[in-house]
Amino acid sequence: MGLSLDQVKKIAKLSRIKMTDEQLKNMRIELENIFNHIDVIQKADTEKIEPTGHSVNLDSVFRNDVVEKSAPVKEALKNAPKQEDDFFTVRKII
Amino acid sequence: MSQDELKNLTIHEARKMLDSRKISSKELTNIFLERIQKVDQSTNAYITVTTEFALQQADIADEKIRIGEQKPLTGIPMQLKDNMSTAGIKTTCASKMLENYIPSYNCTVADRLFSEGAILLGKGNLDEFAMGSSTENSYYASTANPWDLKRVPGGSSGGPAAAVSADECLFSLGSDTGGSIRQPAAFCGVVGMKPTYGVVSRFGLIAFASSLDQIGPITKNVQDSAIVLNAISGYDPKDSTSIKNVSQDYISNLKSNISGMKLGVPKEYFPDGMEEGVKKSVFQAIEQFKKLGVEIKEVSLPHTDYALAVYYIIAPSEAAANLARYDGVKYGFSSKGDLEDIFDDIETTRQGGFGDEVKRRIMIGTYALSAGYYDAYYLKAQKIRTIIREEFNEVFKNVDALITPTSPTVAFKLGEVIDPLQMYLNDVFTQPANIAGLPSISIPCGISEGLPVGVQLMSSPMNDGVVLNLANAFEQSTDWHDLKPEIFI
Repeated sequence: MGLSLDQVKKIAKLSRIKMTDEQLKNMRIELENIFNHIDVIQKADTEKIEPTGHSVNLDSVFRNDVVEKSAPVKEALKNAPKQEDDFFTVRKII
Repeated sequence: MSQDELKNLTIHEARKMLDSRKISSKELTNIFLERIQKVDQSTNAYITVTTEFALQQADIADEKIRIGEQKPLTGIPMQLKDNMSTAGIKTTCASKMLENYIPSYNCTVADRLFSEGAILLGKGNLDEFAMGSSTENSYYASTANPWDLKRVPGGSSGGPAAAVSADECLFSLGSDTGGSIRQPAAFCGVVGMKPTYGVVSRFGLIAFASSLDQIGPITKNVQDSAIVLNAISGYDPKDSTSIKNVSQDYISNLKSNISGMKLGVPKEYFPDGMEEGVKKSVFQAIEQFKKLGVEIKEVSLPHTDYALAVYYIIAPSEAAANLARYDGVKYGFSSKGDLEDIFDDIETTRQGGFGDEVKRRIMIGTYALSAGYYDAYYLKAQKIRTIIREEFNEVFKNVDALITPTSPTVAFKLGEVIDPLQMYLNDVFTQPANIAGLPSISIPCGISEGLPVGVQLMSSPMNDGVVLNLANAFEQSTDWHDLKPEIFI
């Protein structure tokens, strides 16, 4: 398969990773090589085959909706790079 | 304790010494802390050493032993791979992203081991976020193979495998998404087990690919592996993929008579061009099993050739979703400087916080999941996953377990494998067990070019005991597991 630089830029954007032009160029070559290998899967006949999401068959797990004590605010904020009072701080969103 | 005594010390032996008061847990802990101080500058098997915490835990363990309340791991010094959350102790995932991250809770396996009284010496090095096969992707330092410091220990649990091999702990826990316990165990000449998916809780294990990740023991021998698995396995309501009714006692069920069992040799796992020394050692292991009364059958798993590609769609896709949480807001590395808005902030944070391989995998996964490609890649891979799983089920109707090499090569040189795709090929024999959720173990079975070779055993889901029994019988009839790296003796 061929992968264009624009496609790689789009993937980087969707991945929310900033990249320099040089990094994008290298990534394009690496991804193309990897997907050239991965493309072997197109040869497999998967007609009428159901997909497997998990190796063990699992039922959805439910629990009663009981309010439990949450972590103290100080504890929850302790690893936050930026904070103010009892809140995480983020840059402007809109 | 002499270096010679230390290298022969297993959990089982240490237990006897602790219970008969030949040594205290504090003395034992100090011996290991000194050993770490001496050799870890060469191996880099640890990211963090928790000296103070270990000595405190040792005091508590000694008290438990004094009043006769010890359990199988009380007072036993261990390491945990640094992607397992430990309350109040840095858990970095070998990433700049989590350089200063201190969890506020323990992962379930740490909780279980601490309640048994095991002693945490520190946190083991790994490839960043467990993505890699050589531990060269660690943000901090590459781990060196104790058998040859110029070579890799394998990965991603390279720190744990090297630490057990170099006697820097009595056991360690690794995590295995595509071979990350078994391949480094093979490269370092130790025993590494990936249990059936769901047997060990993943709660608090920092997620890489949730449908494939599984925690397991890295030990000096099979008996120790069973001891550790007993302690960490079992249902956990905090992990919704945890299997109920896992109540096997792997120790009391451990047998050494395996006569009459059937072992399959899948021809797809012995491709042309495989390293001769590896092939020879694995064939010798097959002969050894014959001597033990095991019937050997050639079997075929035709879709094995697709496993690597399937893995490199599913694992990165799940990783792309799991690693979306690293946005520099709630914890972890955060970009600084004059940035436009929150999206600019997140993108810059991820640019600076993640290493190359992590970025590569996130991008592979993002692409495989993106509009227009989802059916061709992710869905297609999930369908082949069904076929691979069914092929295993079919084969296990006729044999108890499968025997294969763990890795196509012995440990390669640091810096030798640069191309990402070449690196991925290392896990070609180990990934199928993750795709199908099978229990699988790697045990030492020979030496090639002066380096250890590992043989892999796989069985059907929930047959962890079968894998351990076969491995145990093999180990007891050979002495490959007794060989140790000479540089440290």
